[in-house]
Amino acid sequence: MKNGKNILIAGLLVAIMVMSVGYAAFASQLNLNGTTTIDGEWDVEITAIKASNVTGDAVAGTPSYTASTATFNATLKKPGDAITYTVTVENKGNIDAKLNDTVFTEGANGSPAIVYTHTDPAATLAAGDSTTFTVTTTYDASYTETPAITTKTITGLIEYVQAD
Amino acid sequence: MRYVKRKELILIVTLFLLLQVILQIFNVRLVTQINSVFWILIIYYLYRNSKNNYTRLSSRFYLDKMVIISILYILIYFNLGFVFGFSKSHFSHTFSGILSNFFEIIIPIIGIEYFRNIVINKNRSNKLIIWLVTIILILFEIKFNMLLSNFDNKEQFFKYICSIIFPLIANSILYSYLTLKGPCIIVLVFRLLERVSILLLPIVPSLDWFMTGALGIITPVLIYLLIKYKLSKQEAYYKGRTGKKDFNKVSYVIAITLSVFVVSFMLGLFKYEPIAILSDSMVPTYSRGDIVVYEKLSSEELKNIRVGEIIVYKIGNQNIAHRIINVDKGLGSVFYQTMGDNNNDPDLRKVTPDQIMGVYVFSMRYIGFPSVWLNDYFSEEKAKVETK
Repeated sequence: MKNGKNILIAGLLVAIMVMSVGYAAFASQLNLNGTTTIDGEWDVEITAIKASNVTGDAVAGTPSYTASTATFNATLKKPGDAITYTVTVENKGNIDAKLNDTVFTEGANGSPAIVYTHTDPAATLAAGDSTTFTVTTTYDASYTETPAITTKTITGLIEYVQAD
Repeated sequence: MRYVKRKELILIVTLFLLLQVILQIFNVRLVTQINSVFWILIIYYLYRNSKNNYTRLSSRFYLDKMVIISILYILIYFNLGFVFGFSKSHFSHTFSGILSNFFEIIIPIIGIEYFRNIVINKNRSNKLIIWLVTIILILFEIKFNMLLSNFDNKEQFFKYICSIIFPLIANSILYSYLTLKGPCIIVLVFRLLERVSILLLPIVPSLDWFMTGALGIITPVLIYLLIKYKLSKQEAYYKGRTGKKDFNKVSYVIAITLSVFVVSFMLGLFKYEPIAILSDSMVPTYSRGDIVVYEKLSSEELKNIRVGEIIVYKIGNQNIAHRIINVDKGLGSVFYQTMGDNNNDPDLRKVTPDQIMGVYVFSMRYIGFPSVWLNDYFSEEKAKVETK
């Protein structure tokens, strides 16, 4: 009888857990962010960002990074100016990773004069390996006068998951 | 004869540990697979050679409690996602992925706990062996390649030690304690339920390194106290009134409540949050090494900020706590001019409402110095990297 009661308690708790996690997965207002959580086995993170190519009078601000974000600020002075940043992603964990998703989105009200291109990091990243990708921002050479807005925010999401 | 066998076994495991540490630095993939095969062999060997399963006290009593504790822990862990946000699990959920995770992650856990159980239960009175085994198994579970790859960045290394290594040590000591008190199945129940749920569920709470570390250290202490409390009650029952009371409930309750409170406070779960002061710009109100506690404000409360109040705000990655000397109200926008009490000039950049984190409530002398030193230590490293 006691055993039956315990199974019941355990079953109920599991049900609550599954329900709450399921709720979290499907609730539309919930913000699922792609940041890597620290884990004893998994550790894919950004380990460097640097300005690798400067064209024209462009000035590269000091870029910074955390394990899951890389930030840079570039000053583009005249049409044709461009800066390329190289971001290094490293698999420090014990699990082989594969690229699941790459999404680059522009923030609202960004300058139309600033255009960007990017390369993708390696599709597979074995444990211990590293890969790089580049983001290039360019002051559109076809602009002849200074646009009203001179800044733009670009957010890139690079998502690695376990390779099968 | 038996004793020699046990000694040999510990020797084999230790030698393999050394081999694994060396191998880890060269080829990770190979090591995890060799590791699993090694533990399968150990499980097989132990199973063949040990007839008696030591079970002290009531194993049923333990198992019931442990299942409920494990489920409660998993529930709390996953529901923390509602506070900290969730992120997608990075573990593979295909059949082959689950199979390889079982082989590479679950098998070593079973092996380690089985080994711990056999060695500890055959040396119940030998504290030295128990500690030795615990230390060897801690070293076994440290991923030295991950530790080393974080070594070149002091900040990352610090975070790795706090969030992974400290919890690992605390847990391993708990597992040895539990093994000493009951059969290994109770440790396995806890470890496997926790691991399997993380491996299989599609989303995980995205806890930062601090929360991961705090949870990883507080949980084993809590489980230890709970089991110890239940045991002391059980023993007191058998001993009757003559049984000596060796469990001071009140002090433990105070200690646990205090640590949960401190962790929540540091994480900013309350309306009040602390920051460590890095400069002397606000002397004599507070100085370098002090802790300032500020009150977080809602957008409605933000409107009531007046000249003369000290605000805590964030510019880039830097937190600043300076006094407001002027408020500029323009067309639909507000700018706050700030200045340190000890500075000759106002701050260069004006503060916008969205940069304000809160308003100063009180400060505490000197207790922020450890944070200040750590910050100095890490920023030195950063400056070095940037000037390279």
